[in-house]
Amino acid sequence: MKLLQKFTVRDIVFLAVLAAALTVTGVITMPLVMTITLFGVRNAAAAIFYGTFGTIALMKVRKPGALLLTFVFNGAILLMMSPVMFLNNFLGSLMAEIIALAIFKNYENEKAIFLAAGILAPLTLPTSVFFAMLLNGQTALQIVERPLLSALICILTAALSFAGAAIGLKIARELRMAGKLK
Amino acid sequence: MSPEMNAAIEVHHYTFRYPCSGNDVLRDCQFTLAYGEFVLLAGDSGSGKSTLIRAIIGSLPDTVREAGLELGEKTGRQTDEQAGERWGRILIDGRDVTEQTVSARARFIGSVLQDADSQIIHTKVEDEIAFGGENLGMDTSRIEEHISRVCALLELECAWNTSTLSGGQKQRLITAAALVMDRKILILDEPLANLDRAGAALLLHTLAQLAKDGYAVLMAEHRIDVAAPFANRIVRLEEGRVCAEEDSSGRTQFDATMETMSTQKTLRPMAPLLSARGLSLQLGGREIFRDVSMQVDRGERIVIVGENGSGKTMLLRTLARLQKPTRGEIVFSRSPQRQYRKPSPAWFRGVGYVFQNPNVQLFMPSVFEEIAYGAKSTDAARHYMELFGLKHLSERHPHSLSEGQKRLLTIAAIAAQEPEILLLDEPTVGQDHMALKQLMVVLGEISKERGMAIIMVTHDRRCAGYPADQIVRMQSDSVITENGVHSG
Amino acid sequence: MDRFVVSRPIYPPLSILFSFVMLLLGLLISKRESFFFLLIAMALLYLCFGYGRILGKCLLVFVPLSLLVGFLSYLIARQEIAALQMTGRILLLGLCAVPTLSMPPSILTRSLAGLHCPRAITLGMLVAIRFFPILIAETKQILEAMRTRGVRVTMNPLVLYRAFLIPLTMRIVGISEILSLSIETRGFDLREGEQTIFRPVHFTSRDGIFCALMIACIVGAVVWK
Repeated sequence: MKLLQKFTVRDIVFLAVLAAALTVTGVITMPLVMTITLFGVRNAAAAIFYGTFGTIALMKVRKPGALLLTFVFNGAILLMMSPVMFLNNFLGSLMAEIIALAIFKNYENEKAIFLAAGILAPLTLPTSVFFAMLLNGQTALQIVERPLLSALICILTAALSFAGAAIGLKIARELRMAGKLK
Repeated sequence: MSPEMNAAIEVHHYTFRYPCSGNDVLRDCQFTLAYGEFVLLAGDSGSGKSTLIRAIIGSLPDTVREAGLELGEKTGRQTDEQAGERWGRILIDGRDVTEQTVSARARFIGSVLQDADSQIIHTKVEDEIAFGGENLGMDTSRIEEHISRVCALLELECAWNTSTLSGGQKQRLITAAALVMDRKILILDEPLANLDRAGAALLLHTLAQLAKDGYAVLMAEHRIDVAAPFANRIVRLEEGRVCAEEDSSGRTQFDATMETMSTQKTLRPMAPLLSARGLSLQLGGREIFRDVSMQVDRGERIVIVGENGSGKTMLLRTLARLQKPTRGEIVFSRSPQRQYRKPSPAWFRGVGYVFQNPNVQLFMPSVFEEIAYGAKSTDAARHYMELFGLKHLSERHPHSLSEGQKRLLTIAAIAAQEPEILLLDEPTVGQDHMALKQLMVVLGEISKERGMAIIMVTHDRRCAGYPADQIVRMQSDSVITENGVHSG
Repeated sequence: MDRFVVSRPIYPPLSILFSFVMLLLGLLISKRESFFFLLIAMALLYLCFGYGRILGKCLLVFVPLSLLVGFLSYLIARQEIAALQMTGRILLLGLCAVPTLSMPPSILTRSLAGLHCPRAITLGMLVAIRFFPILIAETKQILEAMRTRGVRVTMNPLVLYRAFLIPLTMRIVGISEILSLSIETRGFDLREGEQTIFRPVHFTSRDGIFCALMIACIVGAVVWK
């Protein structure tokens, strides 16, 4: 695949180890919200870490597809526990990259990285609606029956996601000071 | 190197400078390694040993290759600014490999890097060893044959689970993974760092045998005292230049140092600070240690020694209350409760603990702030920074330091908290001879000035002569205390 | 994750396909009677193919969890049938995880390599799966290290950022640098070339029988009125 040819072994390994770390944070947060069937809560719980680690991934590997690869590798572990989350993350990261690259063309600008990592978690909400319909046996109307609550959760997810992206930028600057990042 | 020996590696007038650095890390380095030779690369921290190893392996950031890796993309970023500058040539089997990538050079060189834990990607020993052979397109029957050979050589079992291996076994595993590729040139970067005497002897014996069988073996190592008897030649680096080459038979410096240090041993009976009674620990059905009792007095210096897997670190962790003992009690004079309780930050103000991995304890943006974080005052922080010889690094980011410097920094940061007891887990790893000696002197000073008790875990024979008031020897079936109060 | 390993796993791509298909099918028919028979059929299938131990371990976690979720669902909706269906859906999640959870990573990546999956993907999956438990251990160590430096483990963002995220990220970078170099020094190249697979993973007749039984379960669940 042409997209993969641009990546080096170092890039792949870094994204994979980062994906493993992302899953670790999920292991910490998911049990807290797993029993809550309210739409979007799980997305909100994961949003800050998706934003943080998504940003670090793109700051270190500034190549199109880096975010997608991170979540594909993250999905390799999730595949063992929840195939639903794998699909969710895969589609979310794909859409995030398409949108960010459509606007900025590449990841040279930190704004592009901030945008891609920031919108990832909110973009997992539409696929979550679909799976929530299946998992809870509800229709879409039933899920958004409480529009105010649903809207609040969407806003919270976006806020946490962008906050995570800001934290990721700060960490990336620290990595640069430590000589770990160009 | 005798004239009839074929050259495996030739380094010709090699100079290297890291990006944005004014100093040459390697300066006009001239070096040859022949087949049938086992050569030790020695030198203090910062002498360029690891850089030379990396230059031979091909992993230095290099102007031509780094630009090439971007595949011609016009990124607008100044990638050449991040690449290092180099002059000179490196030949392997007479072939100029200066422009070749790491994986291309891997077809000629087997490499064993530091930190075995971070290199193992498979769950089974067999799969990990086979990985290199798979990458080189070797026949499966040949891979199988090599796996049997190296497992026998390095005392490994194919069916073992890699997550249950000891540190020494992991080191042997990554060595086996390099050997299976059947490359006649073997390069090792400080493989003895986490090995005990038995583990080191097994590895060194294997390497010496391989050299006799015609392999070219190059090993960068601090623990010259352990490795020298097995090597043919020692090449010394100083400030990036090869300054001496010598036959490996005359090594007495470390023995002399140990003798000098050991005459300073003193016993200073003072008020008991911590007492441990009948400590036993079982984990996963395995007995780690049994019925250990010890008393730690104010200002006392205790060394816990033993081979890998003898339970030294677990004993230290138990004393620090990071591990709950199966039986027994620990009483600290400052907080006399006998029941085990999870340690709070307040506990650690009295009991300083330095982890084996310094990276987990460093989090501030500069060396000075790292020490100042736990220090009682800015002046105290400056005092400890100077004491540990870190003043010239005060503005540096802690994670930009070398592993040896990070270890020193962690010790300084914890010592600056001025605990009553300082527990150190393998503080000697990555320290060259001078740095190690300096560290022991500083620890002695702190212990004397502040009455701080120091308990140190080590398998490093270089500090066997450290002026200890008690030596606790952990063995697989017993714990023996010298100048102490109990034998288990 | 090692304690979930089964001695003779089903062909990995088939395991993954099975998990996906059963999950989707189960969710679609979760309001029908046949749903519970599908769950029983899946459990029996696992028992016949050597997944009994893993099944037991999964059920130990998912049965209480599903009962809890079902109970909460009943408290909210006050409908027994809906609560029962919710319980079933959570159990379904657990049952679908069984074959993938017990798949040794090297077998997964070798089977994908055999299907000419790009090396970048197989390497990344292998590393991610392998380092997941290692990073859990690193996280625990960092949390301990925070206490030794006098930092209280809290939800304070500044504390979490400085004393937890910074060391964790530095460790991630450090590990990946050493690991990538180690992999390259062992001749790994992302370009497709002359690599061999030491123990190739093939689709066997046993996998064929599993596949046939899986199809039978699907057909039965769909057709059952």
